[in-house]
Amino acid sequence: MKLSPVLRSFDMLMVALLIGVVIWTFKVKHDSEVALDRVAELEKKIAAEEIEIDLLLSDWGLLTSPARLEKLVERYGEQLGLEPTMPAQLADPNNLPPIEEGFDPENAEDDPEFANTDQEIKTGSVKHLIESGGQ
Amino acid sequence: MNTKSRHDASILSLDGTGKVAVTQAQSRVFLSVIIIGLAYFALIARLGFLAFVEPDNSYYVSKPDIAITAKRPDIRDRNGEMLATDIVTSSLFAEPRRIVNADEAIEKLITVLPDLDVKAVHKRLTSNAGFVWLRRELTPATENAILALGIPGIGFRTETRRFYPKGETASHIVGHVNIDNVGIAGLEKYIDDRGLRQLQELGLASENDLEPVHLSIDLRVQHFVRDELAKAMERYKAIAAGAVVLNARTGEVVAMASLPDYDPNRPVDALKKDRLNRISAGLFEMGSTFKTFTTAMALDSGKVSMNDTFDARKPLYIGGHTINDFHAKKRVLSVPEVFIYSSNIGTAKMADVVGVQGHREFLHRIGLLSRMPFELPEVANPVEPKKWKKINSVTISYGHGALTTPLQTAVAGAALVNGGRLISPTLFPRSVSQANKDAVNVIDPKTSKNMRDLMRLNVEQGSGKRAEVPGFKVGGKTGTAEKVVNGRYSSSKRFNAFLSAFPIDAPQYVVLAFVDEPKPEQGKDSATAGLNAAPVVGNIIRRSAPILGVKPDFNDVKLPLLVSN
Repeated sequence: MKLSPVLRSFDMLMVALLIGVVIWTFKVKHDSEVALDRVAELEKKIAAEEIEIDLLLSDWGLLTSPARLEKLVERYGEQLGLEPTMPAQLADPNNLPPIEEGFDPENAEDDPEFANTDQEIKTGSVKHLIESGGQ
Repeated sequence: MNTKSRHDASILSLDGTGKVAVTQAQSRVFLSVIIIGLAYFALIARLGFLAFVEPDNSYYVSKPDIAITAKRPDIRDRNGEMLATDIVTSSLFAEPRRIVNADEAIEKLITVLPDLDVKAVHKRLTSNAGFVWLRRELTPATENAILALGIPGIGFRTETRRFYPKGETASHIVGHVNIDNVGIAGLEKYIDDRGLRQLQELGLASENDLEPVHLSIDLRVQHFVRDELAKAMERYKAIAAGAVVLNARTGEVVAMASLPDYDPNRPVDALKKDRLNRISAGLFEMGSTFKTFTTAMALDSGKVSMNDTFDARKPLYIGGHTINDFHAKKRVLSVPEVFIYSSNIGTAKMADVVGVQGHREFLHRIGLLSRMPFELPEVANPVEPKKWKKINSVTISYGHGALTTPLQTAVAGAALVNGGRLISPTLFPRSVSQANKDAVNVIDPKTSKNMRDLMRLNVEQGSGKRAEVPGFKVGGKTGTAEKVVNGRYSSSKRFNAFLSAFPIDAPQYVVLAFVDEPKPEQGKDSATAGLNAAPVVGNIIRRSAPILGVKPDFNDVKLPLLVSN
C-alpha cells in the first residue's frame, strides 16, 4: 500500500503541527501557573507591607503626640533656646507701621536712620521687650 | 484482464479488489485527516480566544485571614491626627507535643525575647498540653526574627489590637474597647451602637464602614486644655478639674477634658468611679455662673433694663433662709454692678421680677434642666426641684438648688453670646449653615449684645481679671459655689468655675473651666474662682487662640513700640 507523495508530506506536516500545538499548550499552562504563583506571592507581600505601614503610622502618631512633645520641650527647651509664642508676636501685614519716607529696603541695614541694631534678635526677644516695658 | 473489442469508444477499466481497497482506504484516511484537522483547528481557535479573555479574579489567593470582623474604623481629629487605630500583632504559641527539645527551643527564643520567663515557659513546653501561648502582641520584626530561628512546634496567630497613640490626651472622648474590640465607652461605644457591631456580627462590615471617622476635636487645643488642667490640679491641690472649648457658632466641641482620667491603652483605671467624664456626666451646682443666665432672663423678659437698680443694702430674708452677698457692697447696685460684684441679693431680686414660672421656663428654654443630646453615651440628667417655690427660684438664680452638667452650661453660654441661638453640641465637624438649620432662638439679639458687654466688663473690672489675654478680648463670669457636705453648705469646699467667650465683640469660642475643691495658694487666704478657674481659662485661651486662627486685636492694648523712629 503506497500513499501518494502529497498525502505523505501533508501527514508529516500535520504531525509536526500537532506536536507543536501540544508543546505550546503545555508551555502556556506552565507559564500561567508560574504567573499566578507570582501574583499570590506579591499579594502576600503587599498585605505584609500594608500591616507594616499601619504599624509605622501608629508609631509616628505616638511619637508626635502633643504630651510627648511637651515633655521634650520642657527638657531641652533651654538648650535649644525655645520660647512659647506670644500673641503679640503674631501680626497681620495690616498691623505693621506704614513705610517711612526715604526708606530704601536694600540699604536699610547700613542706614543709621532706619537700622535698629542695638538689640540682638534672638528667641525670646519679644517676651523680654514686653516684660521690660519696651526699654 | 484487458479485452480490446472492436468498439474502441468505450474502454472498460476494471480495478482489482486490492486496488479498490487501497483507494477506499486512502479516501477514508484523507477524510479522517480533514476531520481531525478541523478538530485541532477548533482547539487552536479556542486557545487563541481564551488568551484574550480577562482572568477571573476569584482565582487569586485572598489576603491573610486577619479576623475581619474585629476591625474597627480609625478615629482622627479634625486635622487628621490619629486618635485610635487598629494595629495587627502576632502572638506566639507553641504546641508542646510537637516540641522536640524544649531546652534548645528556649535557648533560641531567649536571643530574641531576652525577658522570657525561663522557668514558666519550660514548664509549659514540657507539659502535655496541645496548645500554649508563649508571648502575645509581638511586632512583625520580632515575628520574622523568631521564624528565622527555625524552632519546630511553634507558630504565630495574627490578632488585631486597638491602639491609642495619644494616650490620655483625648481619653474620655475616644473611650476604649474591651478584649474583643467591642467599644464600651466614649465614641468607640457610640460607633458600635450606630450599627458597626451588628454589621460585624453578620459579617457584613465592608470597607466603607471602616472609613476613618473624623471628629471636631483639635488635638493641639485638647492637649493645651488637658495640660493646663493638670497644672491647675497640682497647683491648687484640687480633687478634680475639667474644661470644654466650644465653637460658639457651630456647636462643635473643639476640646473637652476631665481630670482625673485614664490611659485608654490600659483601661484598668477607667472603671474607677472618680475617672468619670465630669464635663458631660458630672452634675454640679454651678454657682455664680448661673447669674449670667438670670441676668439674661431678666433683660430678655423686657421687665429689667441695663439701667435698672436693685437694693443690696440689706440681706434677703425668705422662707427662713438668709441670703447674703460675698464681699457685700451694701448699697444700691445697677444691673452691671450686680453682675461684676456678683451680688446674690441683686440677682435674686432680678429673678423675682420675672417670677418663679418664668424662671423655670427660661432655664428649660436654654437647655439647662433637661438631658442634653450628645454623641457620648456618658451624659447625666440635670436635677431640679419637683415643685418650684419662691425660695427655689431665689437660690437657683445664683446657681444653688439645681444640678446641671458643665457641658450644658457652656452650650447655654454660647447661646447667650452668639446672638441667641441655642445649638446642640457635637463631636463631629459641622458647618455654620448646618448649625443654623437646627438652632433654636432662645433670646433676643439685643439681650445677647448686653450680655457680651456685661461679660467683658466683668473681665476688665470684675472678678475675671485673671482670665484676660491681651489682644483677645475675653469676657466671662466666675462662679464660686460652696459644696454641700453632710447636708450643709461648707465654706471650705468649693466648686469653682469660669464661663467665658472670646473675642467678646464677635465671639468665636466659648471656654468653660472648673476646678473642684481647690485649696488656697501659698500666701493667699482664699480660693475663689477668680484665683484658680479664671487663670486656667486665660492660659487655655493664650495658648489655643493663635492655633484656632483667632486674630489678636491690639488696637486697645498698649504695647511698646518695637520699631524705632
